[in-house]
Amino acid sequence: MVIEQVSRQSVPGADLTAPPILEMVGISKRFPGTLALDRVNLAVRPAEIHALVGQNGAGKSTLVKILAGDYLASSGAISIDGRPVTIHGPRGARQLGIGIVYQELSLLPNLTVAENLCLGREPRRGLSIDSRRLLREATAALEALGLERIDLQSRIGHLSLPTRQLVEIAKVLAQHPRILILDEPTAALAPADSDRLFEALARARAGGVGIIYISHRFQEILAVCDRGTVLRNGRVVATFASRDTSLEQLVEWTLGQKPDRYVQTLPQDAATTSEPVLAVSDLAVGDRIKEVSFQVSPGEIVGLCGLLGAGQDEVARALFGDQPAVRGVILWKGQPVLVHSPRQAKKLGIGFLTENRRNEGLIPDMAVRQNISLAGLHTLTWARWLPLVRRGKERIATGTAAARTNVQMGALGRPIRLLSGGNQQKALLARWLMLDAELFVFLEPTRGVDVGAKAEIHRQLAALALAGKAVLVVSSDVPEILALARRILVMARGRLVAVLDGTRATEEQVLMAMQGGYPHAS
Amino acid sequence: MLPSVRARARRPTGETGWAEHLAGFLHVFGVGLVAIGLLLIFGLSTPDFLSRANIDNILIQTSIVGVAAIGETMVMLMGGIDLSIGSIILVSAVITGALTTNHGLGAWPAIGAGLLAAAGIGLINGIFIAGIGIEPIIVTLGTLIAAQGLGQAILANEGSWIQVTNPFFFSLATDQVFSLPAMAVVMLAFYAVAAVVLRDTALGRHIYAAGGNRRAARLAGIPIGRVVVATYALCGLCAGGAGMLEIAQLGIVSQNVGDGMQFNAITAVLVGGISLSGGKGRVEKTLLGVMIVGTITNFLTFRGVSAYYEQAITGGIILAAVFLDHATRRRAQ
Amino acid sequence: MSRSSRRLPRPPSPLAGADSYLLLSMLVAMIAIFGRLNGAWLTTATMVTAIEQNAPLAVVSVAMTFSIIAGIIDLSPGAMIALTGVIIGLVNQQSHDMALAVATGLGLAIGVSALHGVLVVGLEINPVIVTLAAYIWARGLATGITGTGSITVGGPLITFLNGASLFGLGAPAYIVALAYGGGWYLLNRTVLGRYTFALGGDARGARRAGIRVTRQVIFIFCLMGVAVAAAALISVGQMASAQPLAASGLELDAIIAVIIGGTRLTGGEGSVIKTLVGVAFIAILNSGLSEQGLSDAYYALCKGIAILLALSVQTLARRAADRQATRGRSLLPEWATERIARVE
Repeated sequence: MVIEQVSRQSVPGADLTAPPILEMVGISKRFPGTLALDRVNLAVRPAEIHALVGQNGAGKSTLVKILAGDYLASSGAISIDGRPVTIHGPRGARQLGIGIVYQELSLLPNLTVAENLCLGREPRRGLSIDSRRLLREATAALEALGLERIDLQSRIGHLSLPTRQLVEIAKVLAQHPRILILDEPTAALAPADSDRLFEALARARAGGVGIIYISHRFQEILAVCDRGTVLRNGRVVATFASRDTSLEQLVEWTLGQKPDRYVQTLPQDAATTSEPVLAVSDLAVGDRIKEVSFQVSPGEIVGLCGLLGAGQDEVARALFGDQPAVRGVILWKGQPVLVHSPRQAKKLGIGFLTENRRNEGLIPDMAVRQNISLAGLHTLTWARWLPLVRRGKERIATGTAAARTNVQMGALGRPIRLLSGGNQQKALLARWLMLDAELFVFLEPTRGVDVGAKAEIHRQLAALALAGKAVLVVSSDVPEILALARRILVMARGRLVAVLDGTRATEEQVLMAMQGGYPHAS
Repeated sequence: MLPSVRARARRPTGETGWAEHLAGFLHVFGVGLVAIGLLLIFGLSTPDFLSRANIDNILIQTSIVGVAAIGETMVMLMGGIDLSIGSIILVSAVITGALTTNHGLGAWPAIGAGLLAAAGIGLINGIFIAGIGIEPIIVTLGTLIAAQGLGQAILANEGSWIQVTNPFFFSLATDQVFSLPAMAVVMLAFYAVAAVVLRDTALGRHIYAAGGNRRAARLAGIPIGRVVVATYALCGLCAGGAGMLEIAQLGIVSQNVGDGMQFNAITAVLVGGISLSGGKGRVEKTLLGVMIVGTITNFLTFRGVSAYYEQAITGGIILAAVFLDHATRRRAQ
Repeated sequence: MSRSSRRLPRPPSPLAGADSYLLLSMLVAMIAIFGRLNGAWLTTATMVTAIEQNAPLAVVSVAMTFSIIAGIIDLSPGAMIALTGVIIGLVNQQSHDMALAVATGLGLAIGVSALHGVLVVGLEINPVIVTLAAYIWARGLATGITGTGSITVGGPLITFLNGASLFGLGAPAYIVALAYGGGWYLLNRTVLGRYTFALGGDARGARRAGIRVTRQVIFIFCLMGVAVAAAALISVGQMASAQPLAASGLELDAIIAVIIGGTRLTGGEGSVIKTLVGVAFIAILNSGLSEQGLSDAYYALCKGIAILLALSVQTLARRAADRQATRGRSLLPEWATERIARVE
């Protein structure tokens, strides 16, 4: 296999006494209220692939933003090739030879692949663009990754996400960075594409580039990276050489505890005997996600998780009509239904909450009260023939719902954009409570919510289950899933690969299950 | 549309000084203050400006734009725009005028027909926009041209101008209700109804939702397509109402009726402080915008300024209004 | 470099570009219909007149193409043409120096446009509003200066614009050709053109890629300023006078021409050639309809209906083509970009 060859090869000319191509010493980053990074040391040698590992929130992205020039470190020093440097914004980072492949791709969808590859650096001949040279450079950029099969003239907007990611990587590599940072590059890639990426990385490494590789896929890290650094809560807890490290060791480092400790689950109803309100059979979404079958019954919380790109988001969104290209059988209370639009889902009694409050939930300038009643106005009018909203009834209904979710009282009349993230989330939850929805689908319900509100939202989810609602929670926060869910569905690469008992599973088991199904498994 | 591109330095939350509070206050009440201020300045500097007769004048002149601007407000709140209002006014005026003068129909049935036609054109706008998916600017441009043609064609058939003799319209123009000109009362009634619709009906809430965050609105189960069609139909209806008032004020339906009225309406909405992207703003602000523009125009005429320079000044007013709105909004947030 | 093994492009959908072909066929059909209805209409002379009469529209439409591709809607050209013409006439009248007059007019047109650009990028005011204001104040100023009359303009330049003819085509026709040639080159072969597309596709992404958005926006507005000046010159030349009501509604026609031509209002794509077809559509429509001896009323009615029909056909064809090209593939859904961006 390609990967074996790549990492076992000794790099010609590798000089272990050469100064690190990138060294960060004592880097701390303070934000109002939090210390995101605490005296972090990171050293990347030339011709080395260095992993950066840690849970969400451990500080990886803050570190990357500092290297990218988006943030300035509160304290500490950075040096490149042994010389101290300061990184002045994204342009400064680029000038220093730092290239970053982000997850939010920097490609412009309406331009072609070729145009994107050279955007901002178009070769010129006098006044005009030298299109021949541009094509040559673009082709070379693609060939470096073995991507000749991608048509240079097709628009990015028409390419699938995996292809776009590959183009993005090619674009950054084409600028010949000396330090390359990749953020979850294989999240949406198929094994063949991942291999191609690893070949390109090997080639870059042979050229002396220092590569920082961020990933949650531990097998991949152990196979591809030479060394790595583990972050936890903003601190470095370990640096390792892949040769001498095991999967379990990595898991233990990121979790900070022995992997076999149990995590408490919130008290829930005893095993439910009621009929499932939702039964999904052979659900397929698009061309990547297939054969997903599961059930959710009233009174239970089912967790759905997986690594980025495993398909859990698409499956959840298919349930409330926000996903095109859905096939398969969905049974609602035993009856087959089609959920083609959010409106249909609402009528069935399916409510949802995503982490994208600003884009997908709030009407920002509208009052909190009106946001809550928005989906259920038809229940608040005087009569069919007089479609005026009864203010009094609205106050009571929204007040009740808001009280149930503990929205900050007195805020109901203000525009919802003024509320804190946690309160916004609660208000949106109240919206569906007002409708007496029977199935609640949550996507990352506590993303971007402070700790206090997080605990509260967990309590409310449990309360929903106690009240007899069916709850499906998609989360990348494994402890959260373990605390909430009675059953945990784990997805990997578009399939459902494991169903774990939420009351007995360990964090390690869940993480391992999420890793399962990926290549390079040891 | 060119989105905001500059990275904004965000003020840390919680830090509000007097400047922010002042900006917030101005943002909300500024328009009203300007209106009052103008009245004071003009009234004090020019004798007879605030006379009964002139105030009535202002009210009558602004009532037509006032009613038309209601529909435009609704459309803009929803995030769209309607450029066809001028032609809809023409069509409704022509139909009503013709029916009641040359074809012996009573005032109310004729008005009904005119309003129906106006709403119908609005409906067509909505169908093209929501059903086929063409952008509002272009669709309403096309309707502007087509409806203009329709109106002119009917008018030509009726003898190229119609002298409306029905006493109803005459009394509409001259009567006083609660010591205000009847036309102004009609306009205020329209505003009252519009305010209720926007604030307290499902449609009104849906309009705000669709303008404030269309994706979130769709996800909340709001039937966006239906909302769009209804809104444009209502806009047409308001234009029809303006057409009726136009008949009353002029007494004659001629080729120029309604010409350019859409830009007057949009100006009023913008001056009132409602933004082009929608989602926020009360229709009462449009009323203030109408009054401000109307007062300034009246003042200029009063002083003998050429009608053409009035236009120039109106354009300047838009810019000033938008600039102020923008400046205060930034600081207030 | 072999292109033989192309596996990954979206297979060119048979419907791709359908809307352009449809437009061309509608254009041809329209010509045929008009020719049928009135045999004497379909002559070279008619075509030449059509070009000359619509020369200002054609020139402005080139600049409007750039604007719309970048996501900017400009409502000012018509009024600005009138104002520029009036200024040219006025300066010429006072100083008897045509060169000075033209220079002043050019300066005014570009200056106002640059100001628009600054307001849009600097103050972040919606371009529709800024140019709407100009639509109102410029026209007002023009009519205010001249009253209800017009300013007669004479001189050798006017005679040249009006009368000179090469191969049967007058100066305006050549100006139009120059505008389209230059516009095509600018849009397709230069960096400024490329960045216009970038701006329209994703302004934030463009900035991240290092494109100087401020310069780009001002450039696009100034391009319109140049087009306005040229159109004003043509207009004044053709009428041998500066009319305050000149080019009334021209910007609307220009927008329609660009959109019917196939450029999307949402921006990010478009072509100067397509706009040419769109202008031809409008020009032929105008010419053919007026040849029918229709009253202004029926003329407007037919024009409006024709525009709506053309747009509908175009939009429906486009939607079908899009659906075809992306069938079955799970492309990047809206929410995914946010999601991906959030993961640390």
